[in-house]
Amino acid sequence: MSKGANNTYFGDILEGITSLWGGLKITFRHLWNARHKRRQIGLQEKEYFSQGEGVFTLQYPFESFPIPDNGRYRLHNEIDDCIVCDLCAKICPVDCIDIDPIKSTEEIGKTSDGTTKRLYAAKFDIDMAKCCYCGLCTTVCPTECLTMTKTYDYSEFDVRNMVYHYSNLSPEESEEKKKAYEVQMAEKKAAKAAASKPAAPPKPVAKPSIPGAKKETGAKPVIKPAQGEKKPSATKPVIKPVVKPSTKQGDEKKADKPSAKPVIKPVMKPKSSEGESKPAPKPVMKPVMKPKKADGENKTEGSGKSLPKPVMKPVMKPKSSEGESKPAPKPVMKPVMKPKKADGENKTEGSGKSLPKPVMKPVMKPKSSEGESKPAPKPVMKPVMKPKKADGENKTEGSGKSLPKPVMKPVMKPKSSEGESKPAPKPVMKPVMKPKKEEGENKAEGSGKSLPKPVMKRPEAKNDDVSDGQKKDTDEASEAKKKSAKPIMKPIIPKKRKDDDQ
Amino acid sequence: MLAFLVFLPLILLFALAAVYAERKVSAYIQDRYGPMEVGYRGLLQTVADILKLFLKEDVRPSGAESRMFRMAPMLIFASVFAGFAVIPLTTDILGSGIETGVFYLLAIVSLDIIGLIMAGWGSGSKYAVLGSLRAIAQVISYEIPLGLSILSAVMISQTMNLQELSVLQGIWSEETTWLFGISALGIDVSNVGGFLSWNIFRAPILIPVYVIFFIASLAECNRAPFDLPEAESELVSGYHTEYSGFRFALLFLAEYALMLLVAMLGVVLFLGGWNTVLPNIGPLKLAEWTSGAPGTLAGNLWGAFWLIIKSLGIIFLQMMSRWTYPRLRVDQLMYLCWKVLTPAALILLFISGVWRLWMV
Repeated sequence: MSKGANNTYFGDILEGITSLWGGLKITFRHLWNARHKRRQIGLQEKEYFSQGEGVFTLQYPFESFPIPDNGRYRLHNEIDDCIVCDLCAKICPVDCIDIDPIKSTEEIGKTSDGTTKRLYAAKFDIDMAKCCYCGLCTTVCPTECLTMTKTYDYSEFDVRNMVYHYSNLSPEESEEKKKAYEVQMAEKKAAKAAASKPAAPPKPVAKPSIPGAKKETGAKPVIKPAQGEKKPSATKPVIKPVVKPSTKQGDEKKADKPSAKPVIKPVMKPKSSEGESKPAPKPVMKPVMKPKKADGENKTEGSGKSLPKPVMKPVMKPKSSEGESKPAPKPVMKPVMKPKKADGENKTEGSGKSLPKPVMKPVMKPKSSEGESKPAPKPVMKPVMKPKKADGENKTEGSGKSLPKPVMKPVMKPKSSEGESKPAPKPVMKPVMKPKKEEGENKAEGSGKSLPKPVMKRPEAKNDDVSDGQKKDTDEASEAKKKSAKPIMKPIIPKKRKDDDQ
Repeated sequence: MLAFLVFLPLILLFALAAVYAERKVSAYIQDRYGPMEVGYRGLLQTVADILKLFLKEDVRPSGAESRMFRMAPMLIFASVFAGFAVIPLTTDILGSGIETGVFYLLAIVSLDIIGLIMAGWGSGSKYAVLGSLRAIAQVISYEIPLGLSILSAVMISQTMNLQELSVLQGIWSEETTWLFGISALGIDVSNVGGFLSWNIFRAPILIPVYVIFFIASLAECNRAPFDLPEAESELVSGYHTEYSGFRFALLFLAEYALMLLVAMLGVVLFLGGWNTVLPNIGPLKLAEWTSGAPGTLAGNLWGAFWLIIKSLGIIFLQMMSRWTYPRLRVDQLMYLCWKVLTPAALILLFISGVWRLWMV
């Protein structure tokens, strides 16, 4: 009898009786079926929604719901595979990763994917209480040592216990490594002094950067245009010495500098067969260098890096076999480095390089086999941006980098194999935006970021992947993404609450 | 005295077991486990709860009428407990074998309402007052169908002595028991016993009467679906909103004791009391084997066993109703009482009288 079909007195009573009986049947059925328990199957199972009967309860500490193997919960760092590149710490939106790197005197070893390790991590802490589980760190991790695991229950009574320490060095070992490095540095310095190269770049403040082993082609300092703004530093040295150390090929190697560079940056001289030397006096702040790999892959992932530029910036001119030389006198602000690749690919991703020019600028004449020299007198401060791409693709995809320009601007003429030079006289302060994108995926997501730049420069991590000749960031980025999606661990169904799947 | 010493622990143990059972039953109906942590599958959960209640502070609201507030739980529990005095647990364990047992029971249980008013009014809380007002309206209303349905059973049995009522429904009965109470069939089941000699089978007209009794007893107990006085979703907790600690435990105990009391009363009136369920089938004298001779230890144990088992079955039904049906609205409550149950009980009362005159 359907509801309301019979609103008579007896109809109501009859309906009441039948519906009461129907209700009792339902509850009795559930009571009877409660002898069984529903199987705990994951959401991904086909029959997840078809289990209509039985006790539904999951007695959590003793049983647990099956978690997909690619669950993204707690971060885990496989420290043996970590090259301490600091990318994760930099990209972390909530700054929950705290890394204290120690440079090593020699190559420490290789990670499981063959990347060379040159840094120790005196500290590698992840504060899971701060973590927002965005997964960006795992995406940028070049060696995929940083992953998200399926362990989700790691509550603590004390919030301090939420900080996970992944470093495998004891404090004593860290001290030891630090000392060893300092000793080595001192020796090198002494050796250098003995070598009596006249041109010693004056180093103002801090510690010299080590020219580490550099892989073939010239080390380039990476200049990453800060997206957005560059802060011209007001003080410019009036005159900037040009230092031109000449090195033999293979003399100087540059180590990748993952990170923060000391205030003064050594001059790097990439060696090309011609053996040009470029003096690069270094101002207080040192540009980040980006080593180049033999394959010539130079990726600056997470391209939107804002590098504050040091007041004085050395010009580096890497030489490539093509022998392009680019003189880049540098003004106060950041050095322009133009790495050259043997293949002739020169990508300065995040291409907008603004080269502020000092008031007086020495003329540098890089020598290339072509023997192009470009004097570039520079006015007070003019950044030149010169993106270079091997393919000559210069996309301004709205990556929006605005470079404020100093009042006076030098003209720079970069030379690329194509020989494109762009002089860009700039008005008093006009930002030039020159976004460069590779196929458009080298984006730190949310790419249009304007990052205010701190006066001090942040270290840049550079990720060198040695993979042949694929220079496309796009490819690599996408690969990295693909890789990062894999959970390292194999799923264990935790039986206990404290069970770590690590 | 013996009955007192038996019933008091029985009620206490029952309350513990019933709260546990209720939580488990409701859980299983809802595809849950219910308490699982304290003891094996949560068996000690209610023990832990009652210990917690005993240790809690006895908070008395400053706005409460102190004397009423303090006395109400005792009055409620005392009136409910007094009802057990006339329940014949066995042939020997019986508080009082008064001839007007049913009458007494109805009267003494009505005192419960006084306690509810005192609790609600004395609390000085709007919720408590509302809850007690609803309780009064509900309990007084439902006493009518309850009384009429009891009266039907009394008519069939021709006695208000609960012990006699029990004896009549078994193999020890003096009266001849016909199958389904219809002497015209000529089947004498006096020596068969078992469920065939229960009131609802001696006079099948009592089956609908028992349904009415059951519904009305639910309302008397303020249990779902008639739990308006304690409607947790509307009034915080009804008349015991302001109670805590031991007084709350007493109120809770009284609620479950009243459940047990009305279940036992229903069993005595309609379902054979302490008589066995199993009939004698030819040479299998199941009824005699499971009854024991009246007055012996075995007889008493069997009697207590059967009465308690049947009562627990009824209580299980009460729990099923509670977890199956939604709460009635006040108008529905009154409609059901005055327009459905009361007329039906009156008609059934009339039929019962006719039955007693002509069929037996």
